Amino acid sequence: MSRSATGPATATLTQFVLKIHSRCDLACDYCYVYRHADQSWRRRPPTMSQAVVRQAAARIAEHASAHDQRWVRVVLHGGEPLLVGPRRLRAIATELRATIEPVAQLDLRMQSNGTQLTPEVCEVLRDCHIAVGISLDGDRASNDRHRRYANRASSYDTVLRALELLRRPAYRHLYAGILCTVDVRNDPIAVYSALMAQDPPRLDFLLPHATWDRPPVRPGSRTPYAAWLLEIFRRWSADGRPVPIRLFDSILATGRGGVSGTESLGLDPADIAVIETDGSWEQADSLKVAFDGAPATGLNVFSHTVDDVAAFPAVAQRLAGLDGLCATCRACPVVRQCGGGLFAHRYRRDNGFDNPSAYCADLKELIVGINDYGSSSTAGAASVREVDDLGLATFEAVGRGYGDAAAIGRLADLQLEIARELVAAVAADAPPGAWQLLLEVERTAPRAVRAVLSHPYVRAWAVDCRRSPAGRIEYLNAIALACAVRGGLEAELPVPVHDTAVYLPTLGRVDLPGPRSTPPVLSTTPGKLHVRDGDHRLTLDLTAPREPWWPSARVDLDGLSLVVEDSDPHRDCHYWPPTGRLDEPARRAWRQSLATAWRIVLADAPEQAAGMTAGLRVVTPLVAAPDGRRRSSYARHAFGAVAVAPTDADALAVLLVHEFQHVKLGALIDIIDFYDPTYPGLITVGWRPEPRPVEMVLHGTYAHLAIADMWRARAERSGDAAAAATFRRYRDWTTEAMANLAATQALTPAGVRLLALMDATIASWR
Amino acid sequence: MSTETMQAARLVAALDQNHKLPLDRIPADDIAKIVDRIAPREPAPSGRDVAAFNSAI
Repeated sequence: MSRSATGPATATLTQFVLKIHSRCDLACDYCYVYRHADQSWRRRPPTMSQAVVRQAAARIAEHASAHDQRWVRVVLHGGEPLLVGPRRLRAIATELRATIEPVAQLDLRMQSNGTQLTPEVCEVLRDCHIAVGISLDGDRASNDRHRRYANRASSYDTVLRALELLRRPAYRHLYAGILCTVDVRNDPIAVYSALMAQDPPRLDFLLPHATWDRPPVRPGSRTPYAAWLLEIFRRWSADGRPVPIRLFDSILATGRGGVSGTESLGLDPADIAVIETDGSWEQADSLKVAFDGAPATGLNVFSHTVDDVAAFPAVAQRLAGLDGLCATCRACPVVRQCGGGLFAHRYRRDNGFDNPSAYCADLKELIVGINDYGSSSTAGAASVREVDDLGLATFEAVGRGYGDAAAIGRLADLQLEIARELVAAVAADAPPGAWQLLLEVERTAPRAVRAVLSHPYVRAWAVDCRRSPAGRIEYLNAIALACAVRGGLEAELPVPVHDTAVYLPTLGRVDLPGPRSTPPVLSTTPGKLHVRDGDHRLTLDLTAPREPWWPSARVDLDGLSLVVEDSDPHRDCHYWPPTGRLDEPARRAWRQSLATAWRIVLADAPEQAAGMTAGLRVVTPLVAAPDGRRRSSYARHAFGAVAVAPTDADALAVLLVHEFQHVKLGALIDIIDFYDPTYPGLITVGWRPEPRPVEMVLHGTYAHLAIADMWRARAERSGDAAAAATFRRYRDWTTEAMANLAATQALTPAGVRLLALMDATIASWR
Repeated sequence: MSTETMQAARLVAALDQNHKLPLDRIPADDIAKIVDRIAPREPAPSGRDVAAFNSAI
């Protein structure tokens, strides 16, 4: 969506709320559907028919197609949407996906009270990729204040069981977050702590619906809602802002000039429409608090398009940004962050919606309080706990696009620990012997185990194993034997044959052609490897490269020691296929090429070279492209490995730096949440014709930052105009993509800080 | 074994702590949470678990 804050050029809607069930099994006393002015639910069918679903989906797809929308969001809502039952839910989701997805990406979500969430329902949610947000008002006492059944029984335990289900690994990715309605009579810290105990991926706080005719409850204070929320904000900040909280993130984002990401605040167009169970188009649900019939448009999906809804006067006003606000709001210094609050909260019987919010004083105090907190102390700048744990110096060095040996060494240590825990996780499925050997080597020669488990493709293997252990897990024997060799221990284990060889990570391979019914057994004595392969016996001197023993092709350069990896059976985890085993002339050619490329890296990117000495361990040759185009790749689960097809040394230097940037950022992404992984939008970038997902854009931006820097150094050294032009191209791609990233609602506070660090690097070039 | 995944806010501290322990002394609960976060059995539906990245050059 690209619209100015002063009004849309072409009004489009991207978010649709489908009321698939209009009744609810709870009787919350603050519910805007049943307990406020609008009583239209009484006149509607309880469930949305398949005909309405089909027509609604067709309207949404029609609108997406006409306006070239790449994604739309549909929120299944109620009443309680899960009252439709799992079978009907599946039918609804299937219909929506079948109709909308050929046109646009569908982000399908649900807001539920959780009472009907069973394992059977979770299976449907998983099959249909429906993310679900749960409503919960905090601890038991706070939740029971409003969220009860009609017989006054508590819903608390039932909802906690639903949240327990969503935390299970099988469903965790469907857990969208918790929505909490504020009641200032509750203890804010008790509420916050209870919500955090549910390990939500994100939270949001909702002000209870009110208007100037039905003003908010204000016990004992002029701005109790601001005070209540600021108490949570301070605690959340002190905790390191461990999860996104939409209300606070919105104020922080708009304070930096970003977008609000919520219809409750800011000047983003409220591009939402509601479809009721009978197919009626309605405006935002919250308008039900104003007067009976307030959300009505008189339009329905069978007769009217989404364009008709977008042009409806009241909807158009909500899409009009600053121009749609009253004079008081337009003159307010925090209007760009507040945006007049939720449209429904502006209502007064005398003059409709041409007012500030009934929460005006609270919103202003909350926004000013958060702005002051961010600018007056170090808390706003350095309060992401994982950043503090990683070490601010490491984060800032790597975040700027560089990272010396100490910083990259810190990432490598964390990556080793991740590999250890992955190996420990899959070891339970391993044949006996390997795990015990690994533990024994670790006791007597821990550095040997560290050296082997730091090999990039050990993690790649463990990840494969975790997802499908059959036929893979036996490789743990090879890992344990490699540790034993390095540690000088004697051991004997069967080792799986891959292709026509056995491979010991970090050491090399033994070629063992020929059919066999059982795997060969390898045993080690100091400096020797003994092979028993059926009736065949041989002893290999590990220090002497001689058929059939092929030691790993180590390359020792000025400060950099790595392996040209042509044998590891788990190296095929890059985007492009690896070459087969190299013969000696090919290995020699790689050594020469890498030596020249490394000298270029040292000259053109010395700050990158410092980090590469601590983290780059493997270069994996790729099959060359048939059309001669350059190929290179990193792999998310192979820290320290860069894969590249043969090319000239100049290009190889650039590709090594480029891919090692991905390696570094991948390591950071493992441990720090930089963005909302459920964000469905795609982002336009200069280096690709098609828009890209957030993680890809972050990766491309981070890589191009280093490449721009490298070409800047080349241009300055040589005065070459072509080098200068290449520098400018990469720099402009980077700055443009950073701006596009910043404009999304997808970045976490850590993500915002990462962009700020990258921006500081670009600023230093001016 | 825990059914929860490890949030980023606790991850680095847990990794640092476990780094000092022998392999067989790493708390099983930590292993389950960390591994669920880093390499879930089923890759997340979007973004998070990108197995490989095609160079943009």
